Amino acid sequence: MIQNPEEAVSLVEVVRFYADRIGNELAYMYLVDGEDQEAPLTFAELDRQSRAFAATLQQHTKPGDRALLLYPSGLEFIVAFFGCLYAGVVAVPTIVPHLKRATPRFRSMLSDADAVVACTQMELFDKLKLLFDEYPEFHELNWVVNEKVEPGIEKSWKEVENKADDLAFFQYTSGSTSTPKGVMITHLNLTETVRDLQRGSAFDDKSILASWLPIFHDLGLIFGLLMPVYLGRPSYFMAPIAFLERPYRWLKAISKHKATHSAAPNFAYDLCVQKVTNEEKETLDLGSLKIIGNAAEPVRFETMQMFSDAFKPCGFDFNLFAPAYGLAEATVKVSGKLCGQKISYCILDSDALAKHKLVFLPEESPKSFISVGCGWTSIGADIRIVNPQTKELCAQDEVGEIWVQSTSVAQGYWKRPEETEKTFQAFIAPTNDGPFMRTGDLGFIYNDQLHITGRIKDMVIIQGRNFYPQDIELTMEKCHDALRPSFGAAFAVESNQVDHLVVVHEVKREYRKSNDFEGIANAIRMAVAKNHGLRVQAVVLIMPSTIQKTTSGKIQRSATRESFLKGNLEVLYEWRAPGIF
Amino acid sequence: MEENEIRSKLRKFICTEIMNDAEYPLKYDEPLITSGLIDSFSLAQVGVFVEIEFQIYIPDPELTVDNMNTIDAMAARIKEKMG
Repeated sequence: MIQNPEEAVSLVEVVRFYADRIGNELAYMYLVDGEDQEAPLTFAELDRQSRAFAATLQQHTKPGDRALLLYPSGLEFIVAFFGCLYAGVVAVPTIVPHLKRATPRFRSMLSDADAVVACTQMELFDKLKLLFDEYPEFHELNWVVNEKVEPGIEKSWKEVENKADDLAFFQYTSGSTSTPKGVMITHLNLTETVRDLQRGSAFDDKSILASWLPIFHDLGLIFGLLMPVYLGRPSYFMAPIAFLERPYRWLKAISKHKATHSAAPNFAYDLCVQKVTNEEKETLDLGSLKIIGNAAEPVRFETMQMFSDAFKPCGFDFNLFAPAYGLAEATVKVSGKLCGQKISYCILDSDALAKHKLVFLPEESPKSFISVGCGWTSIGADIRIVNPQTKELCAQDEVGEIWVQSTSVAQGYWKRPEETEKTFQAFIAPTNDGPFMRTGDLGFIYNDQLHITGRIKDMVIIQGRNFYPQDIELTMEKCHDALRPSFGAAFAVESNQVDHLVVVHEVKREYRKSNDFEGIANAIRMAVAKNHGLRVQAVVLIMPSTIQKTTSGKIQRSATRESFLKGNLEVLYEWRAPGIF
Repeated sequence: MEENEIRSKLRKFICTEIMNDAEYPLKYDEPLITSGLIDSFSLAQVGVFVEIEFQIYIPDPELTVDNMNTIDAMAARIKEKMG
């Protein structure tokens, strides 16, 4: 057995270490209703149940096989995740599929992952049974259900030796619907990332974590559930729905359990400002917090200011915020503000920024933009700003693509050698320095802080969720016969500090004198809401052959967006949500 | 429009379009999202339906689980917006 978690090759050794030393101490507390109903799990129980789960998995798998994890938030997921690690099986946490109908995204993920086993808990398994006709792959899988794990089976667990370069789990979080990409994370990627998060946030042997983040999402899984284990400290967590239903519950959990660490995407802080009442604030003491991460979507200075003002009476301070940046391809973290450091920001000229040039302004103006520093690496990652076309390093006053070389960078995309090479095997010109991972995000480095300014790809981020425009465009063209396939564009437009989805679509020639444009627009709004869980806030139907395309026939989304903002589209019909644009 | 008519239109839409179960005896005060009958992403669909059917707009900050968890709660908000 290891003498110190720093020596651990995998998190299995870490759990075994703490089970032996402090077995009766709390590893997890699941807040079942987000409030007082609690389900605890000690380190000794975590170890025992993980061994039992692993022993069950070992009946159906060999090391390196893949196991889908289909779980709602709760302790069962944690046992299954560690069970996979204990069995040397690659865990594939995924979002629970829609329980009423098959979705293309889940279907393509299912066939991509090539899993041997699927793990779930009893209540969900009963519901999933109704989907067996929708997903033929479900019949081929061996199902492991937590409640059916045989008592005492942990004795037959055969210890596996996980090596640093063995795969620990996949993160299916990137890629559009048609091409889901499983990011391959090794044990080394995972332990290094946990160390990066722990050092950066100064998580120590007195720290306590509180989280409401989704368990299948990199930030919720690694920061929310795995980092605390590394220090033998507890995580108090609730389901995202408990938070969304009543945001107060998250802050109350921090207050009640004296949490020192937490994190959430930017929108969660806006939600707290809107939803937590003055009476509720009187019951909150946030004085235990040492740091609170703001990550997984663009970080907004104004949001952090408003939150700090609103919760100052509860003992909150602006500089407790830790803006951070990362992506699944780097396991979760690239950079983050250090605990105790002040928030760093600069004021930029927006016009220059649109041309990828940095012009710093002494004070705010109508044409300025406040850029917040997202800290730095705590494990010596090599972070560079590179011109995405020439692949040469950018000058100090230029914005470029963020490239990363680090022990936390994943091994690539499962079964996709071409995409893997494109993203993970980039070399800087002309020195041939590398290999670097291309993040697809744009940014710059200022005062030793990484700043993020946007994305190269057209990905749209709304309320912390990523949307690929091509997925939304496909939904549109299928929803009404009047729409000309491949002649639509979806993009985000900011208004009042929030990004909104806007779509523009050509109608077919024979429909240009239609008297039911409203019906066509309504069909788009309904189809996008149904397939993506997202409202379109403006629909513009335009004349045939007027949408901007490249010479190779690709939709020019940013040019179309520009025309929308300037009012240069050849509009046949337009609907805009009131009070937004 | 009477609140009862709003309720019955909402119920029909939610049962047939979101739950895919037109026969489900959905009660007006039955929790929809916190009970798992529909997921929170389905609120976008409810939002669009409300816009088209009742010609009112519910802004994003109001289209939340705590405001829209039952048909009663939805209908009250719609009624209020219709003035």
